[in-house]
Amino acid sequence: MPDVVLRTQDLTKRFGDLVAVSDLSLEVYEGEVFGFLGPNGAGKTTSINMICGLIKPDAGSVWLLGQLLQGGDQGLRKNVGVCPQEIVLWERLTCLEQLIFMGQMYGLSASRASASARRLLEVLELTDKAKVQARKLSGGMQRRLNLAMALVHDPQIVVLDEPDAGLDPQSRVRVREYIHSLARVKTVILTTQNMDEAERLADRVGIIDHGKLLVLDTPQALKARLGEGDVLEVELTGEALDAGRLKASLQDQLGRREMQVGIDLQRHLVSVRGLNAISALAPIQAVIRENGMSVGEVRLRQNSLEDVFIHLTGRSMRE
Amino acid sequence: MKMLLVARKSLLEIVREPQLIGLELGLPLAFLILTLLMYNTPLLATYQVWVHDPGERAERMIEELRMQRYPTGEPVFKLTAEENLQNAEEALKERAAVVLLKANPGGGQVSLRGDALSPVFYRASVLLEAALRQQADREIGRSQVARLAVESIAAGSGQSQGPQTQFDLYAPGMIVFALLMVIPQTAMLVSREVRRHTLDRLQLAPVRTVELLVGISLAQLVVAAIQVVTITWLATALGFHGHGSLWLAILTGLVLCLGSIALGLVVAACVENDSQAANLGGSISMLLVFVSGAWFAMPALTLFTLAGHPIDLFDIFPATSGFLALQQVLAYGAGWRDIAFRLAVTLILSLIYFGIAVLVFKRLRMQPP
Repeated sequence: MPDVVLRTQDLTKRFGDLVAVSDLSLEVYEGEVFGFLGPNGAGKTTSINMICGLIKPDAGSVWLLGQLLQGGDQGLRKNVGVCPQEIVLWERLTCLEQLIFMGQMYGLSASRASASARRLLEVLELTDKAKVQARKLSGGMQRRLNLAMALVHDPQIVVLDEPDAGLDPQSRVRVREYIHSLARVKTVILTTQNMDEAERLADRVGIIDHGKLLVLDTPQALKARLGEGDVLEVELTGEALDAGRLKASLQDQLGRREMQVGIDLQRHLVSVRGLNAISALAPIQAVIRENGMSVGEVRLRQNSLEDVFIHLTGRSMRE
Repeated sequence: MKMLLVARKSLLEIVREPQLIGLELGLPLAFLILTLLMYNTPLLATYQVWVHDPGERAERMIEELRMQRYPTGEPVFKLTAEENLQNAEEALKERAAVVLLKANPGGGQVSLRGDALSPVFYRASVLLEAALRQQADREIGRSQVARLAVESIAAGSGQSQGPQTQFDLYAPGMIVFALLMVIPQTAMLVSREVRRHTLDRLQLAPVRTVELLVGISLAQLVVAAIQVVTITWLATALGFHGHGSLWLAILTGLVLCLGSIALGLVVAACVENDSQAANLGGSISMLLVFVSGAWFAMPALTLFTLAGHPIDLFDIFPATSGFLALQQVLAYGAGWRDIAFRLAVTLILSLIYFGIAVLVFKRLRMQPP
């Protein structure tokens, strides 16, 4: 059993009447990539700010490396590096200057901070921008520098709050590769809206919504909770859609096959989840035609973390 | 150590930000030049007096005025006779004349006319009235009770040299003005840290409130020293007759600046963004420029006397005592002992303000760890 490097116990934060985080209890193990997922406003950033010590919780506690995090734990907090969701840089400092500055602020000597800064600039392909002020960098470069700022002091735990937000595909791949390279070397807590990213990178995933932790497990285990097998999606075309009748007909046809049937009227989509889902295609087509519609595009895919996410948090838009 | 790192970082940001440099150096230097244009007149000025005396009944009076001299030998009045009253009035309006002395055709009376809003008119008319009364007393054989003698204030300052022009008196005020512009500048610099969340990043490092604020203050104090040197240098180049120690002026400026930084930090703690910081900070600095007496001498509103020094209402601001000390040093050549009291008052007030600023900033802007 790996060591627990971070533990929260009943962490709670209220802003007026709004309960942003409620009784959050979780453990993060040494060397794992922990995915922390949730819709906008679910309480991810508030949780992270409490874990980092930027916000004081109304209740509950945080243990870092086995020690209770309390006010003035300067030494303890040095073990955490935070890459915030927003780009947080000093506009008029060069890339190298701000990395060295932050390294020294975390207690590194000037030479160590400089060496670490240069290494990070190289890894994140910013070496040729070392002497360029942050305000003159592109958005993607600023994001990469933002990430480097969290790592310059070589922390044991790295908290990455949506590090891929607003990145172009090239930068996203570079950042993903770098986060992947951190796995096992450091403990990474990663919040993201990108389910593919989380599925690819995270060893375990916690999903939070309305301030409550809904599930916490490996991506495979979470997907398994939705059911074994694949997802067959059939697009509907045509008018006069009676969803109730269609669903009843489909369930009647597929009931014996132990498959979950879903109809999304907004997306004009019938989805069927189960073992050998493709075998249901012919009966589905027949039912659709019987109901006066025709079949559009057909897709067969595996269960994804996004399915789990949507299943748990619903389809309604947030913020 | 951390405060030095913050100081270096802040200094780099200030140097690379044209808006901040403009606020701290450009604006005061522009005002210095304006001050030169407005006040480049000798302290013992010779006043332009136009005389309208069609009946030549006031000849003796005029002769008396013509004889009025300062101890330096310079004439107090330059008299210009004008028979045409309309021309004389025009000269007054055009400010070619400070005072129009109009003799009554019936004899026995003269009137003094001038711009009631002009302090120069008041100075000139006081001297004129004294001279005319002296002459009248002599004519009727009344013994002279007192004689008005105008001397340079340097003569009473105990210093060997002193200000020679109005500009000499007002130029140190421009340094105070520059040092008070540190208020919006500090407020903008710090509110930017809040708005861009770089303050959060620093707190994660973590940095203590005192380390952060002292670091920012050190950067501002470096700027303040540059301000004092630059403005003194430019003022001297423009004709300022400086006499005191530049080092003492820098020290006084730094002590005064600490109070400005403190106010800037309080402003930064209370505003949401840079423009609010600039507006509120700028308003406070302008108010303090006035009450400090840097631009205009304020009326004495003495509250009590401390160690033989009157303490006025506006002495609650570091800038007021700071200005007096700076003026004493630069315009009158005062030394350590001469300004010790004012410097001590400025220092104590600045430290109190700074302490309050740390508390306010910590409470409103630094999240509890």
